Amino acid sequence: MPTGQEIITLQFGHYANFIGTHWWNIQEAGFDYNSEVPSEINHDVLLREGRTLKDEVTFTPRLLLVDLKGSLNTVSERGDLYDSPEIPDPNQLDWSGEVDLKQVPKVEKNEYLQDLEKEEQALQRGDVIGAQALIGSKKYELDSVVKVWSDYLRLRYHPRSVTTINDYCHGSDSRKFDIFNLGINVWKTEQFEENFCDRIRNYAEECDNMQGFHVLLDCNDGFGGLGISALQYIEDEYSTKTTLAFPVLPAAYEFSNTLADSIRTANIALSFRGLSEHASLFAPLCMGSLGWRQPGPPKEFKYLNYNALLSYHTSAILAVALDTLTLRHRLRSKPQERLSTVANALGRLGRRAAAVKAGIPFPLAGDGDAGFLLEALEAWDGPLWHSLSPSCGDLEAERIWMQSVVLRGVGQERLKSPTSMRKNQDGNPAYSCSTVEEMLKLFLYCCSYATASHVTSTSLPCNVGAPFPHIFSEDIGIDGFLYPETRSNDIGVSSIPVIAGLHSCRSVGTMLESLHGEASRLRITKLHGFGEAGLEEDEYKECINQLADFRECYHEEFDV
Amino acid sequence: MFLHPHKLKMAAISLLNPKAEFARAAQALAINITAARGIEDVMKTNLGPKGTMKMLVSGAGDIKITKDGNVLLHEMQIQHPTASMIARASTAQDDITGDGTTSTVLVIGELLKQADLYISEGVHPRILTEGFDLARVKTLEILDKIKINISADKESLVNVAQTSLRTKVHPKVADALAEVCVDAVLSVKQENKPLDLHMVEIMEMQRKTETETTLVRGLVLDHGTRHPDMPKRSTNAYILTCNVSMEYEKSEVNSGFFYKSAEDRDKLVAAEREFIEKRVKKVIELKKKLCDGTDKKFVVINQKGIDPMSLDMFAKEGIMALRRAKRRNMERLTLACGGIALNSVDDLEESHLGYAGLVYEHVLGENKFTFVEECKFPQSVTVLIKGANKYTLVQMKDAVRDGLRAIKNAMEDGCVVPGAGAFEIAANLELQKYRDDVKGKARLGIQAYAEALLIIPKTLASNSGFDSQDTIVKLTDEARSSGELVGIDVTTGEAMIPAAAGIYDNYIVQKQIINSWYVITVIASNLLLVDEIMRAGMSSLKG
Ligand SMILES: Nc1ncnc2c1ncn2[C@@H]1O[C@H](COP(=O)(O)OP(=O)(O)O)[C@@H](O)[C@H]1O
Ligand SMILES: [Mg+2]
Repeated sequence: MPTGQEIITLQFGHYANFIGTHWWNIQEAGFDYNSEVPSEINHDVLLREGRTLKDEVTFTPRLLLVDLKGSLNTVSERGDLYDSPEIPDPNQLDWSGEVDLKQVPKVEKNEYLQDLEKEEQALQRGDVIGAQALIGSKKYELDSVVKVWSDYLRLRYHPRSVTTINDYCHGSDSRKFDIFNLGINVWKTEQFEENFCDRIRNYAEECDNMQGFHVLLDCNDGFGGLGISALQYIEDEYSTKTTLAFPVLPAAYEFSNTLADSIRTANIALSFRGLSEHASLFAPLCMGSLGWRQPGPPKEFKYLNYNALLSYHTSAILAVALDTLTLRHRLRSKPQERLSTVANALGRLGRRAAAVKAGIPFPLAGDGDAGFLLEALEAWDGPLWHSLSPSCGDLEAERIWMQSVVLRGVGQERLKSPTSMRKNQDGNPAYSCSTVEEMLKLFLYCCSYATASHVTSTSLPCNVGAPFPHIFSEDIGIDGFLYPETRSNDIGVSSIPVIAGLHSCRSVGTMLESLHGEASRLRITKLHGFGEAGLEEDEYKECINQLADFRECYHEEFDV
Repeated sequence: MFLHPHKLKMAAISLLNPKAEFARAAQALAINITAARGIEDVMKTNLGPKGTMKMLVSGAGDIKITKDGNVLLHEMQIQHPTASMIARASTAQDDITGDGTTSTVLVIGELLKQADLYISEGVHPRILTEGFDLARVKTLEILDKIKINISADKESLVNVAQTSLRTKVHPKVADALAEVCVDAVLSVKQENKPLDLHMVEIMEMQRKTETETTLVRGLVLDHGTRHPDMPKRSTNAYILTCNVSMEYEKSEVNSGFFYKSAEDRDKLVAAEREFIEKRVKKVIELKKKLCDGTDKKFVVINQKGIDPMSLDMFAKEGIMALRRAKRRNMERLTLACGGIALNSVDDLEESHLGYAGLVYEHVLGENKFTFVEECKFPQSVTVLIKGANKYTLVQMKDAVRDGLRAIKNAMEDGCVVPGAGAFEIAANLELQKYRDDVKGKARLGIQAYAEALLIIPKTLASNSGFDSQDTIVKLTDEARSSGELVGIDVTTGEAMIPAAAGIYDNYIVQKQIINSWYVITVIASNLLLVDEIMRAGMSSLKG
C-alpha cells in the first residue's frame, strides 16, 4: 500500500495564523533529532522534506497561509531558506538609468527571536551544546512583546507558504477587510485563482497518498469568504480528498460597536453556511463562551490562568487542542487511521459540524496513587473536558452520538497503580484493562451509554516550552502533572498531558441554533458593506434558511 | 473594452466618506491637491525609458525591483480618499490595457493642479469640468486622426513591444524579450479567433545562473515523474492528456465501522483498487497496441492524481506519467500537441492522443520541470524565464506580461500612436486652436486640459536630464514648423520623429488615459459639495 499520509494545511487570517504558529511550534518541539527509532507521531503527515538549490535538506510545514499586508513583521514573504536574504547593490542592477533604493529599516527582533537566531548560528558552527543552552528552559516574558504571530514563530517556512493580500493592510482603519464578500472578491483575483491554487497543486503533486486538508480560517471577517472560496475550489479540484476545517474566532476584539458586532455575526453565519456545504467536517473554535456578536466571557479552565485579551494566550490553548485531537490520523498506527475515517464517522447524517472539547492539561497527580489513570478516573468528579467551541457549553442534558477522543502524555506506566493491581477488585472490568486506550474507552462507555467513542492514546505529551505562553497555574509541575507544592516562579512548564476530542453531540445543535437566532435578527441591507461587496439580500436569506436546515440535522427524531 | 466612465464615477463617489465633517470639507481642495501630489511625486520619476528604477526593501528583507507604476501603486499605502481614487483609476487603467499607469497618475495630478488654479481664481468647478469634457471629446478625435494603422506584421509588433519593454528593463533585455513575446503571440494566434494570451504559459525557473528568457515551442510543466524507474526522457511520443483519477481512495462506504468483518473490508478494498487498475490497464493496452515493436513512446499527463501503484504499472511499461497537471494546461497541451483532453479513458483510442517529438525532465533542487517540445503545430507555447532570485523572476515576468499585452493591444487596435510625447504635443496644439472656437468660460477648461497633457513630454524630458520648459518650446516649434508629429529624443533632448525611430504606444492605452478625466469630475463634484455646504452653513448662520 502507498506510504504517504500527507495532509496540506491552510491558514486564512491573522487569528488562524496565531493558532497555526503555536501549532507548528508545538510540533517542532516534539521533533527528536537524535533518536534512531521513528517517533510515534508521523511528522511526514503535516511536514515535507525538501531540498534547496544548494542541496541542503529542509523540513518545512506543508502549509499555505494567508494574511494581510503589514502583518508579517520579521518574517519575509519569500522566506530565507531557499533564497539568499542578501540585498543586491542598487548600482549593480541591470538598468540604463538611475536606481532608487527605498529601504524600510530592518525590524528589530525580540529577545526570543534573537536567541533563535543565535541558536541557529551556533548549530551552523556545530556547537550543539551551546545551541541547546541558549533557549533550553529559559523563561521568556513575551506577553507584552508579541504583537503579531511571527513574533514567536520558531519554524521557517517554505517559500510557497506565505501569501499576503496587498490590497488590504493589517490594522488599517480606512480600508478594512471586514466583510465576507470582500474575501470572495479577493479569491477571484489572479493571486489566488492562479498562484495560490498552483501552490496547492504543487504540494498535492508531491504527495503519494494525500489524506486531505486541514483548514483554519478566521470567520469573523473577509477571511471567511476567502477560506470558503478555497474550500469550494478544493471540493471541486480534489473531490476525493477530505477537508477538516476549523473556523476560529478571537476571544477579544480591539474594536467593538453595534455595527461591527452585526457585521461579524453576518460573516460568521455566511462562513458556517459555506462550511456546512463545502467542508467534510468542521469544528468551530473560540476561547470566548459566546462567540457571535461578542466573544463573551472567557472559558474557564481550572489549571489555566490566561489573559483572554491576548491572542498569544488564547491561540496557544486552541493549538494544544488541535495538535492533540488530530493525532488520531497523524500517528504511526496500525491500521493507519485516515482523516476520511474521522470525518465520515463524525459527520454522519449531515452533521458536518462538531464540537471541540479538551482537558488542558489532563489533570493527573505527579505521584502517589492519584497519579494513575485508573485511580484518577475512579475518583473523577465532573466532566473530563470543556468545550472550546462557541455557544456550545457543557449542556446539562448533553447527548453525545459520536466522539473521537485523544489522550496524550499518559504512558502505559501510569495505567494503574501497583497497589490496585494487587487488590484486583472482583469483577470490576476496569482492572482488567491492559492499555490506556482500553481503559479510557471503558470509562467513556460507562459515562455515556450509547455513544460511539473512538479513543487514541500516545505516551507523547504536548510540548509547551518556550515560546509557549506561561498560562499554567502553579499547581502544575514542569512535567505537566499536579503537585502539592507550587512550581517556582522562574520555571516554566515544559510539557503536559492533554485530552482532546471531536464530538458530534446535541450541544452542536444548540450552537447552530444560537447563531441562526443572532444572524436572522440582522437587517443585512442596513449593513452597507455587504451590498457594496456584492452580497444580495436574497442570498443572505438563503443563507439563514440553510443554517436552519443544517440545524435540523441535529434533531434527534432523525437519528438512526 | 471600456468601463463606462459614469459607472466608475459612481463607484468612486461611494468611496468618499459621506460624513466628512464640515471643517475637513472646507479644506478639501487643498488636501485633495496635496494628496494627489503625494503619489504624483513618487511616480513622476518613473516615466519613460530614462525613468528611475525603484528597489523596494521591506523591513523583513523582501525585495521588489520595479519601474512599473502599477506595481508601485500596489506597494504604496494610500490612505487619502482622493489619492486612492487616483490610484484606483490608474490600476483600472492597467487592468483594462496593461499599460499607462504612470501617465494616468501624472495627467490626473496635473489636471487637478490646473483646476485648483482656476477655482481659486473664482471659476466655478462645474464650468471647468464642462470644458474638460469638451476637451476630452476633442482629444479623442485628435487621437483618431494621428493614429497609424498597422498590419500584424512582425516588425511593427516588435516595435510596439520594444517601446513598452524598454521602459521596464534594460534595452538589451527588452529587445530580446520583445522578440520572444512577438514570436509567442504569432504562434498562438489562430485565424479568425480572438487572441488568447492564456495560451502563452509563463514559467519561472529559479537557478543559480544568469537571467535568461527563452521561447519554448511547446509546454514546460512545473512537475515531473514520481517513480524511480520511469523514463525521464521520451522521444517520438504519443501524449495522452486526461483528467482521470488513477489514485485509490477509500470511499465512504467502506470507511469507519460500516464493514462487518475484516474480510468484508479487504474485499471492498480490492474491488476499489481494481476499479482504478482497470483505468490504468486501459491506457497500457493502447500503448501496447501503438508503441510495442516501434520506436514510439507514450506519455500520460493527468490533471488528477496517480498513486504509487499506478505509477509502478506505468513504469513497468516504459510509460512516462505525470500527475496533477495544471487545469489550464489541459487546454494548452492539446493546443500544443494535438489530441483532446479526456475525462474518461473508457473509449480511449489513437485519435485522442497528441504528439511531441521530445519530452524530458529537468531537475533543479527539489523542483522538477518537464519539457514537452518538438510539437507539430504548437498553438500554445511557453515563455521560460530563468533567474537567480525571486525578485528578478518577478520583474521579468511582469515585463513579459506587459510585452504580451502591448502586442495584443496593437493587434486588436490595428493601429498605434507615435510615442515620446508626440501625441501630447500635437493634441496640445490642436486643443489651443479648438479653444478659440469655443465661447464662454468653458474654454478655460479646454486650456487647462491642453496644458495638463504636456506633463508627459515635460516629465520625459526632465527624467532624461533636460529642462522641461526648453524641451516643450523646442518640440512645439518643431511640430508647428514641420507639421510632423515630433517627440523628444531622450538621449539628446532634441526633437525627433518617433514614427521613424519605431517608438509607438498602444492606441487603447492612450484612449484610456484620455478617458481617465472622469476622476477629476468626481473630485470636482466633491468640491461642489463643499461649496454648497459652505453656503448652507452661511445661510444657517444668517438664520
Ligand atoms: N524611446 C523612447 N523615447 C521617448 N519616449 C519614450 C520612449 N519609449 C517610451 N516612451 C514614452 O514613455 C511613456 C511611457 O512611460 P512608462 O514608463 O511606460 O509609463 P506608463 O506607466 O505611463 O506606461 C510614453 O509616453 C512613451 O511614449
Ligand atoms: Mg508603459
